This record gives sequence, structure tokens and C-alpha cells, in this order.
Amino acid sequence: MNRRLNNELRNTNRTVSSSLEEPIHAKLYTEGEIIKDAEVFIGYNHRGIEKLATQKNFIQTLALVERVCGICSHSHPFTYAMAIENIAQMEVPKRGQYIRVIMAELERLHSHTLWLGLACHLIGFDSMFMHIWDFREKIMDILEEISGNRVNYGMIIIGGSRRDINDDMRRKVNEMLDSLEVDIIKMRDMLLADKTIAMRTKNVGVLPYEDAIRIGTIGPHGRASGVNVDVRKDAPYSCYDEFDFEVPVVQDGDVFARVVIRVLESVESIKIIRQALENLPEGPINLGNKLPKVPAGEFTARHEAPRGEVIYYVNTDGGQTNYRISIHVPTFKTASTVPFMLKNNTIADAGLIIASIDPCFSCLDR
Amino acid sequence: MNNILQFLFYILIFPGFAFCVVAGLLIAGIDRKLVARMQKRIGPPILQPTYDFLKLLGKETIIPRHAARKVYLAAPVVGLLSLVTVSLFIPIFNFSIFDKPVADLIVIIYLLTIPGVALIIGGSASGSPYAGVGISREMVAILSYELPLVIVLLTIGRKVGMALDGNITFSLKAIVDYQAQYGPMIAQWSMIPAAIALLLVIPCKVGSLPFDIAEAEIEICEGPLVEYSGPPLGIFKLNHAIKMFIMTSLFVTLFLSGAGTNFVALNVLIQFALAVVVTFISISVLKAITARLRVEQTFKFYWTYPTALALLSLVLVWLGL
Repeated sequence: MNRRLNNELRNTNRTVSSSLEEPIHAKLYTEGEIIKDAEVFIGYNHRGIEKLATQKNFIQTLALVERVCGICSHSHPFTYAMAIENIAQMEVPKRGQYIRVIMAELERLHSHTLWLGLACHLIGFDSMFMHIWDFREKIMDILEEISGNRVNYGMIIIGGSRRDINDDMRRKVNEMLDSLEVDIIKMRDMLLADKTIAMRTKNVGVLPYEDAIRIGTIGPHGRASGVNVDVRKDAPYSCYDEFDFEVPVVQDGDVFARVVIRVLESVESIKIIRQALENLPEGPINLGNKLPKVPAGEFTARHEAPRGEVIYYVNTDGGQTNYRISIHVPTFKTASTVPFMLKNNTIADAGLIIASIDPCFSCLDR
Repeated sequence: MNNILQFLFYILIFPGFAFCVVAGLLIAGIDRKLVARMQKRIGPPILQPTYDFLKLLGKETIIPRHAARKVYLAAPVVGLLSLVTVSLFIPIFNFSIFDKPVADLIVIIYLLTIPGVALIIGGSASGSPYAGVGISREMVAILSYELPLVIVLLTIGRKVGMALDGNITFSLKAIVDYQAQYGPMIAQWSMIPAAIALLLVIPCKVGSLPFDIAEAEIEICEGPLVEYSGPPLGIFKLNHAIKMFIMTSLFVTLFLSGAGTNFVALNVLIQFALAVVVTFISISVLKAITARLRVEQTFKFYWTYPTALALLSLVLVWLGL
């Protein structure tokens, strides 16, 4: 323990750093087990990706932004490609857009199941954690079947998708979805019925609707507090307006509501993937893999990533590189709510509450 | 001379130190394997806790600058010694180191608290804020489970005492003799609530899920153990393993004992096998199907369900059933 922390120990009642295995420093001012105040420090994982992107051409930037985050590694190139396509006024083939959406929803599925498993681990329910991560492997198998990769899929190219989904693959993926749906329904019933999970998550880390609006939180975290925002519905992009799906909203705003939201969203994601696979249009998947000619211009693209709205502002000067890109990630908005949620909860719940925003610090610090 | 040698054997080999260590580490390994299988994992080898313990013995001991050095190093040893002492008192079927009935149940109640107290003292000596949270939780845990535990032991003492001289007995030997004569205590229906209460007390006593509040690794980085390293940490882990064996073995002695066989070694094996069964029911299964409770939830739980069950048994026994 360094001297500074010791001084703080003397000056305040007691500070404890939350023991979460992520590069976030949450300093908790406690009285016994009760957290009286909290501060959150971020920025431990800065890699200068936005600056680096100004030195890369558009295809190279795709590979770069794919590595902003390991979990939502499809959302970043997806959004970036949308921005460039809009500046260059390219018409993306329908089939390419459908494949993009399939990948985006598969990513949402694997991200949500990953978080649900972690949440179970954080409340000490390791059996549930193991079971959820066990069937999450099926999602990873589908992702691997389609893209050939488990983490960085490399499915996006400016003007479409890089890999096609053929009929054989479609049949296989459909079969995998069948068994996956059984697991997800089972998981939903178990999570919502289990007594110890409810004991640990109900009325914990409550973020009321008013606070959620005031701080401006988004994504599943906001929808768990009754904030009905979802870019897929509010400002449909790509081909999201062609699918029939619900955006679940829960009013309670506690950790349990965040569990419920993610479970319900997983079910909706399967629905979207099924529709997309069934109605997969014929035609090309992209406009060729040559480096596109992009005129000077700017565009702000939005995409509903698993954690909330991700925004890419891209500015080009007519050359081969980006003049400036700016990445806005959902974790920044959700992390701001953490001190508010922590107040008057116990240390036992601190890790769970911080994790309940489904933080992604590699996105946040990029 | 012979007597001294015999007592040295009792203390160092059986049923004292060596036996405790072997049985404790084995039962800890079996528990980990069982939990792993229930969680769809392959799990570590049965001897993994032994390997861990041996590895920790060879590691460097780092003492924090703000720690109270002597207390910090003495705490795990005190815990271990008290556990070994408890083990001396627990009869294994017809084997007991005492010839006459003595009031050892009361001694056991006191001695079983000491490992928890050692954890509190060691944690507070380390000077870490995580340990500070951990020790306050451990104190609440002790407060929670002591009440039902004492009531259960009282119930058994009364049950056996009534059969002996119409009074109450605090001798484990008398309890075992009673069971050798009338069959296992669990067979009496009035004792079943008490048995369930004790089964519920065991996980908190050994600090396993859902009651591992004091050492919750995710929440407070193992609380009192956060600053410990090397052999002292190894001894704390050993304490944990031995406590698992002692508590389950105590349950076997109190509820599942009987006449046994004429061979001490066979009796020990039966006792160990039964202890594994009790571990499976009260520790492994519970660990696999629950999430960790908060400290106030633990307190509330223990002062309602197990206490009510134990009291029910006590009333039934007092009524002569």
C-alpha cells in the first residue's frame, strides 16, 4: 500500500478499492460495509487508436478499429464502414447488409451470455457461470462456422461483407440455433426463478429513471432503468427496419433488471438471426475489395452495440487516410452512473454493481 | 513413560496432527472434485490441496510493513493447534482417548471458535482494509452460526442424558455409547431437525459457499487472508481443510455413530467415508447450487431456519420424544 492511500485512510473514514479484475479504479468511501461515496477513475488502458487511425488507409483502419475491443469486435468496423460508405455514397448490397446484421446479433448474443456468466460468478454462483459459458461455446462455434474466427471476425469490408453464408452453412447454423434456443430459454427460466440470484441482485445498485435520464445512460443499462432507447428501432440503419423484433424495457433499474434485460435481448437476437437467415437475399455480398475512393466529407454513424450505442465520427479530406476519427463508446456513458449506483450499497455488492454496466474498458480507453 | 509415549502418539499421529492433515487435505480434494463434476468441469486431482499446501510451504513469507509481526505469524498456528486439539476429543465409533465420560462437548464448542478468532486476529494484524471488512464479516458469521450449533449440541446432550440418568450429559463418549446401544441418533425422528440444522451450520463454519462471506474472493480479495503469503497462508488453507474434516466427522460422531467394528482402522475408514458423504450433502451440493449471500442475509438465515429447527428438536427432546 502506498503512502498516498495511507493518508487517505487517515483522512477519510475508510477507502477500499473494489476488487474487480478490470482496469478501473473505484475508490469506495465506506462506513463498515456501507458505501457512503464513491469515485471512479478511468484511463488506464489508453492505446492511442484514434491518433493511429489518422495514419492508416480505410481498409487498414477496419483492421485497427476491430481491435478496439475484443468482445464487440464486429460493432466497431461495422460502424466505421457505415460512416465511410455514407461519405463515399456507396450502395451496400442487401446480402452484405444481412450478413453484417447476422454477425452483429451473434455478437450481441455472445456478449450478453458472457456478461450473464460473469455476473453469476461475481455473486459467487459458479455453477451457473460454468453452465452459461458452456452453451456460450455453441455461439462461438456458429461465429467460427461463419467467419472462421472466434474473436476478431474480419467480416467487414468497405461496401459489404468479406465472407458469404452459403446454403450448407445456413442449414448448419439453423440447427445450431435450435439447440442454442433451448439452452437460452432454459437459462432464462433458471436465472429468473433462482432464489439466491434474486436475493443478491434485487434492489441492489438501483438507478432510477430520473437519474438515468439526467446522467444520460444508454443501451441495455438504460433500458433496465426504463430508458427506451435503441438505435436499431429509433434510427434504423443497415437493414434493421426489415426485421420484426421487440426492444425489451424494464422499469426497476436494479441489477436484477439488468440481468432480465440481457436475457430478454438474447431471445430477441435469436429471432433476428432466424429472420435474416431465412430471408437472406440473393446477390453480391460486397462491391469488390479495392481501396475505395472517398471524397472529402464527414459523417457520424451510429450502431447499437451489445453495450449500447457506439458512435463513429469520421472526417476525410479526399486523401487515402482518415483526417480524424472519433470513437464514442457506450461504456463511457454507463460508467458515469457507477458512483450514483454504488451509494448506500454494501461492499459485497460493489464489484457486482460496477460489473452490472457490462463495462468494456478496452473500448472506453481505446 | 509408556503413558507419555501413548499421549504423544495421540497428539502427533492419531487422532491428532498427522491424521487431521491427511484426512483434511483428502476431504478438501474430494470436495473440489465433486463440485467440479457438478459444474461440468473435470476438476483438479484429488491431491491438489496437498500440492497447494506443499507449494505454499516453500514460498517466501512477506510481512506487510504495518503488520503486527508476532501476532500475524502466530494466528494461523493457533488456529491449527486448536483444530488438532478438537480432533483429539472426537471419538471414532468405540475409539476414544478418554476412558471415562468427561464434559468434552463444552470444550469443543470453545475450541471450534478459535480458528475463526485466529482468522480475525491474523486479519486485523495485517493492517489491510480488505481484511478489516473480512474480519467484521467473520465476527458476524460466528455470531450467526454459534447459536444453532450450541442448541444442537444441547439437544443431543439432553437426549443422551435422559437415557442415562434423566439429566443432561456433555460427554461425547456417552453420546457414542448411547448410539452403540440404541442405534444412530439420526434414526430418532425427533433428532432429524437438529441434524438438518447442524448440516446447515457446517458450510458457514468451514467458510464455504453460500456463506463464505469472510473470504469472498470476488468482493474483498479473500478478506483476512489478503496479505498472507507462504507458509502462514498454507497453514490457513490447511486449517480450512481440517475444519471441513472435523466438522463433518463431528456430525458423523453425533448423528451417524454406532457400535462399529472391532478394528480401529476399519472404523476410521467408515468414519471417513461417512464424513465424505456429509461433505457432499452439506458442502459440495450447497456450493454448487447457490450464490454467495450477503452478511446480513447470512445472519438472518441462521437466526431463523437452523435455529428454529434446532429449537424444535430441543423442545421435542425435552418433552421426552
